[in-house]
Order: sequence, then structure tokens, then C-alpha cells
Amino acid sequence: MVPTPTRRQVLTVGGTAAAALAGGYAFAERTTGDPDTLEGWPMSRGNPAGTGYAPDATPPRDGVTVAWKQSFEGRLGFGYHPSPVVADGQVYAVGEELVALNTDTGDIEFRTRTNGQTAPAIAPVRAYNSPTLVVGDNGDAMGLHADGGFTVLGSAVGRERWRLSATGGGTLSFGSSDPGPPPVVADGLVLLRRGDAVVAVTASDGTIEWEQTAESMRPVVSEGRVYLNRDFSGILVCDLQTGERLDTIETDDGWVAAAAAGPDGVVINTYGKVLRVTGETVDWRYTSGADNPNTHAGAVAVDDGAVYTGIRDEERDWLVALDLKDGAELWRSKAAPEPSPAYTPPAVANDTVYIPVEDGGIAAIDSEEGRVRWRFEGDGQEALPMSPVAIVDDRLYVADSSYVYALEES
Amino acid sequence: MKEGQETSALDLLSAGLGRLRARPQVAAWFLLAGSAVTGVDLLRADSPVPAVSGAEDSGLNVRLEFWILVTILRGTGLSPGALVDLQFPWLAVTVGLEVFSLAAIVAASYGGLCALLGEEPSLVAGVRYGAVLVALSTLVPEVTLGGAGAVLGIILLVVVLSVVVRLVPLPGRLAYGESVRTALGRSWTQSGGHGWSLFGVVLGLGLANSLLASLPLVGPLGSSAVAAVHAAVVAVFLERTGRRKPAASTTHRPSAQTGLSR
Repeated sequence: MVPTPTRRQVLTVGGTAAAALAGGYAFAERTTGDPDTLEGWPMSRGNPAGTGYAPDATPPRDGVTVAWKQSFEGRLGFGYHPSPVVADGQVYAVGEELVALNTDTGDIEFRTRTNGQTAPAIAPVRAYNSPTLVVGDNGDAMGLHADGGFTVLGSAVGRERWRLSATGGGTLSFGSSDPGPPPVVADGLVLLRRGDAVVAVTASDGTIEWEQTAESMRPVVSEGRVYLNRDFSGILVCDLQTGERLDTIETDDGWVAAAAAGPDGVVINTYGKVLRVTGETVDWRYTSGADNPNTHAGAVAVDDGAVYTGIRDEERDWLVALDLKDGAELWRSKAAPEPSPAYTPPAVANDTVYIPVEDGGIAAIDSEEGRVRWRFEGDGQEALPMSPVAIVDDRLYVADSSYVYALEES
Repeated sequence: MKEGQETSALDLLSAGLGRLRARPQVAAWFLLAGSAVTGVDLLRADSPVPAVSGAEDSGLNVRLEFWILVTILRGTGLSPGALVDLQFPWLAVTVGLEVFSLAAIVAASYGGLCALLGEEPSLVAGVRYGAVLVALSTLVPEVTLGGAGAVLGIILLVVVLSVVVRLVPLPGRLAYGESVRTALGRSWTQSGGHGWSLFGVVLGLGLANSLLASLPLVGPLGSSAVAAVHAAVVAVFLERTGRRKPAASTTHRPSAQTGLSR
């Protein structure tokens, strides 16, 4: 006969359990602080500042060979492909599916059907032993177990941690006809575009911390500040943790297409002009020279001494390098970035600029002289549009519509 | 109460409220459990472990939140997938909060029913009640009307409601200590001929539950108030329809106070 607890016993047990849970919660809060930032290339353009610069990496410089390649369903139509991202020994690439590959061998760690058109991002999180992978899926944003969870009887268990629905605030740019900016990870938050706003979501549990109306530029984060574009008024500067408006950078130079936070100030690319701004001061302004420059604009890469971006003049598209100090043009290369739908983001490391080019494949360009060091066009019959590169250690990772490649020095 | 009294929906609801006025300690148990669930919701909202919101709908949706067993609706839920690879302190706290929340709901619901029915509670029957509650919350579908599937949804809704109405006495039968199979069968039989009255009860309690449970922060408290009325209505219905526990198993001595023995 099982004894029936008395009311007093139930109250005692309940009260003790409540106290133990409150104590356990406080203990968990105290012992699991914010994890370290992930090494690698955990988001599009490499870091929250959007520089596309890997100062300590030594990717292929004078020649290139394929370390491994892995097939995947990357077909997303015309134009260039979302950049792979790399962290914790895995490469993640998206297309009609998401694949996670071993960085050393290219073996598939897990794959899942998704429909996201922007690069994913990998965020270190407080409550979990493994990071969270943020990907788009048919307009929603999902936080996934970065190792894919585990499989029971053919079904994934523990793969999805949270999902941020597109309902209740318009449509997430993920997966819509306009792919919008990729997610940006910084200090435990993920910045996502949702409807006509940018939302900051806690990477661990997917709750929205704040929301700011902004246009579709990839958010840039530097020193606890978020830079967003807003109409023609320039750049809106907000506190990363609270979303509070701190400042506005007025440029009067037209719609802001992209920005990156360099060592001193923010580099802004409008349609036809490139500017560096420190505080409220425009340090320099570079003009492409085109009568009608409102055709293309895109991301900028910034290293310790120069800015790299696509421009258009009367004749054609170019990749230009500008002196970070004064905006003087250092060189321009005919190996121009793929211009549709916007100039592909360059990446820079090891004195080399890597860029998906308009006639297919990627080009490696000497960052001092603008000379093309080598080109890689994949293994197909013809050169196809490729993704921007991810740079980690001595390798480049790049995707086209059929393969993910790891490239190393030949 | 005597057998053969009125069993219209309004009469049942009114009598249920009267029963609670006569036994305010039962309502207090439910409110205490509702407070515990609210506390769990608040901790979950602040926790870095993903929680599923129970009130994501916006706009002019009309919801009918009627659960067959007497229960308290929680403002947040937990996806099992979110538990995988949690750091141990958070895993322990998260599972602990889930168990605590469920235990508080079962203790109030089962204990409250026993008190209202004059039954001596037993641990086995309480655990059985909790198991059925978990199973039903997992298995019973949510029917949504809208879009191209509206016609199919209406058909499904009619089928589901027909079954739900016949199972209104189920929580009381489980509180009698009956096995699940026996309780299901007797509930089906006992509700026969009272379909429209019980439909009214389902409608009234379901709408009230939906309205009160959707209140921010204090939703579980509102739902606990509805749960208390639900329990009282079930007790009144069982008494009025006069089919008590069979003689062979009526050896428990009724408790005069709450559902939990002193």
C-alpha cells in the first residue's frame, strides 16, 4: 500500500522544491557566463564589424589547389551564393539544403533541408555545450544545434533549439524574394532583419531583446555599438545590448549600401561614393566618377591600411583599393566583383584580396598592386558564380551551386 | 445534491461556483498552484533555455481552451529538442522546473477533485491522473479553422468536440481511483443524454480559459481560477447524474476537507 502524503507533507515538499529550484537557477546563472567568441569565420564577412579581414590567416597566396570538395544542393538560381561559415571544426553551407562538413576532410557531419538564401551564422551560447547555428528557413529564422543533435530511427532529435516566426512583424528577409542581410553575431546576440526592422535576438533562446526600424544593410557591430542604415539620413548608431539610439551619422551622400568598422572609424559605401567617418566627422570621401553610379554598390573589406570594394565608372565595373588614411585610390583591377544583385563582398588576408568575380569563379588579387595572382573556377565545364570566401587558418572555403570547396596553397 | 437535479450548462456552472464558495480552500489550492506555475513562467522567460510561448497568437483569433482533464494552462512550454546538449546546471534546473510545474498542477487538480467529490486521495491515482494529463496534452490535436482547410477544420472540430463532451466526467472518474479504461467507459456512458449541457460547459469554460490564460504574466493564475470552476462543475455533474463509484471500490472514507488528507 502506497502511503498518501498529507497536506503538510505536500506543502513542505513543494516549498523545499521551489527553494531548491530558485537556488539552482541562481547557481546556473552564476556558473555559466557568456562563452568566448568563436574562432574562425562564424558569420558572413568574418566578424561583427563586417571587415572581411582575417589578419592572422595564411590562405593560398601564390597558387591554389583543392584540398577537398563536397557536393551539395546549393542551387539558388542566378547571382552569387551565400558565403560558407566556419567554426568549431565545421564548415556550413546553405542552398536548397544546409550541410555541415568537417573542415579537415569535407565529410558530411549532418545535412538538413532548408530554404534560406543568406549565409548562416554560428553563435556561442550560454546554456549549451555547443554553439547555436542560426539559419533561415522559408521566412523563419531557426537556431539549430551546431552539431546537428543526434539521430534516432532516422529522425533528428535536438536539432532545432528555437524558431523565430516571420509572423507578428512582417516577413523575415530570410527566404523571401529579397534575401536581405545575413545574421550578425555579437556578444551573445544575433542581429536579424525582420520586416522593416532589425531585431536583436538572444542566441541561446531566440527571444527578441530589442527592435529598431532600419533598412536592409548588413548590421555592423564595433565596440558595443550597432550601425544600421535608415532611409537617406545615413547611419543610425545604437547600443548593442539595449538597442537605444545613441547617435546618427548624417552623410548626405545618398542611400547607404554597406558599412564596415575599421581600425579608426566606419567606412561607408553609398551608391557611387565611399566615405570614412570618425564620430560625426567625414574624414574623406571617394567618388567613383560615374555619371550614373546608382547601379551597383556592395560590401567593403577593410584591412589595416586599405579599403576594397566594387565601383562602376563609364565603362565597366572594377575592384578598387583605397588608402584607409585619406581615401586615395591605390589601384583598380579589372577582376571586378560580381555585380548582381550587389557587388559581392571581398575578403582579405595574407596580402591578398579574394573576390567572386563577374565572369565566374573567384580571383585572388595582390592587395599591394592589384595584380591577379590566381583564379579558381571550380571543376565544372564553365566558370559559375561562386560565393564570397570564408578564410580560416591556411584555407579558403567557397561554394558554388554544386560543391563546397576547401582551397589551399598549391 | 441529489440525483436527477438540473444539468443545464448554466445550472452546472452556477452550482459549481456555489460549491467553490462552500469550499474556498479548494480554490485556494488552485490559486497556489497557479502562482507556482506563474513563477516557473517568469523564471523560464529570464532563462537562456528556449521556451515555447503559449500565447503567440495575435489579432482577432477566438480560441477555445478546454482540456478534458482539469488543468492549469502554462504561459510557456518546453520543446524536448531544446534539452539536448544543455549544460548540466541548466538541464537540472529546466527539468526541475518542468516537473515542479506539472506536480503543482496535478496536486491541485487531482487533490481539488478529490475534495469536491469527498474522495480520499491516493498517490497511485494521483500519478495516474498526471500520466493521463501528459498523454492528453501530447496527443489531443489543436484544431484551427481558417483558409482553404476551413471546411475540413469544421468537420474535425465537430468530431473532436463530440468526443470531448463525452469525456467531461473523466477527471472525476479518475479521481474516484478508476483505471483509465474504466474511467473512459463510464465517462462515456455517464455523459450520454447530456451532450448539449456539457457542450455549453465546454464552451463557457474553454472561452474563459482562453481569455484569462492569455493575460500577460498572470495567465496561469487566471487559468487556475477556471480550473477550480471546472473541477467543481465535474463534481456537481457526477453527483447529479448519480453514477458514483461502484460499491466494490467505495471503501474509501470521504475526506471532509481538501483533497489531501491531513
